[in-house]
Amino acid sequence: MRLHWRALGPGELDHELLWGLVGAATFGLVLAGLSVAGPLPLPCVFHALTGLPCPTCGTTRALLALLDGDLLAALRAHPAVAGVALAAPALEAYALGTWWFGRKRMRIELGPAARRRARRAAWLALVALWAFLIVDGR
Amino acid sequence: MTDLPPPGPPPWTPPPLPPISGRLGPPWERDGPWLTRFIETARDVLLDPVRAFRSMRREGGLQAPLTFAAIGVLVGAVATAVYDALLSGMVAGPAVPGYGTLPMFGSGFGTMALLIITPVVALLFMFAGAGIYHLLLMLFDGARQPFETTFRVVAYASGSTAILQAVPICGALVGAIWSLVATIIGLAQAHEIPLGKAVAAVLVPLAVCCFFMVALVLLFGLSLLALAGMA
Repeated sequence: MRLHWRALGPGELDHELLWGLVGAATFGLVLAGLSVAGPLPLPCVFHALTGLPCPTCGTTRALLALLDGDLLAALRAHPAVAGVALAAPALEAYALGTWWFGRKRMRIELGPAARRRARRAAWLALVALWAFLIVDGR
Repeated sequence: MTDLPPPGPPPWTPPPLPPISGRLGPPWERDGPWLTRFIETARDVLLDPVRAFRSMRREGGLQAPLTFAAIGVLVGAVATAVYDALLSGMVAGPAVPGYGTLPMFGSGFGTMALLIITPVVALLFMFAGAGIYHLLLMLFDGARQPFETTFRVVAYASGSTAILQAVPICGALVGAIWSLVATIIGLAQAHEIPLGKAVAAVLVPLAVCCFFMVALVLLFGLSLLALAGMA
């Protein structure tokens, strides 16, 4: 695995600009939706069919808890969503900052073996997250 | 010796698929009048997605597929707005005692706002959807090409199927289902991966996280209606 900083190549997709804008627009729309319509009391279809929470159960609760400033409740409701939401400001600052100031971009290069390990780790993290949601009993 | 019947016409065989190495791009990315290019590309994706995505270029910028998708989504949004206005006009009736005559097309400002906001939100969803598909392709070891390729598939599939909303009553449902089918075929052809991996990347989020998707769609839908002054 190698982490390095480099300038964008000619015609290369500007991921920082793209995901910075998509992230900011999504954040704005979610905030607008929550403030206008509030959390929607919709049952989870997966939960209704299986009796188990789906891997995204708790997303709305985590976001609402974060908006209330209750970090522990947010992490318990959905650790991944809370984690991403907490990291989002830093990621947005990096993405839009590097684009605005024309700085070099951070890139991670993975060899085939490291790619396999990363894929395995991602699957394990997903299974662990789902197991936590099930064991936590919602 | 018996007489053999005269030979009939040879059985129809589909024309050979273009070689994967010869990705010339869809008609939309070639020269010609834009309407002709749009119709030909949409026709190819709707009627022969294997051929369409087999000849799709995997890189070359986001602008062309983004423009194609925006036009398709706008056509679908206009059709939906017209049908909604017509249906609400028929249901509400032209005159309500005490309120006078209700406008047939509702709030003109609201409809215009919806027509502007809907494509923007749809394009946002397109990027988010392509991102989710690409992440899942990576998890299933199926991302053989960069994110741009995944986005191009999603944009051409969504733009083509969005115009099916112009078909009354069942158009939106048929378009939604065919969008999934075209996306699966497109990912398999563009990334050159087995169909199973493309199916998994597209259907797993729907099967497991359907509530989250539905909630987001409804949330955004309600906020759009509110922004447009219709809720």
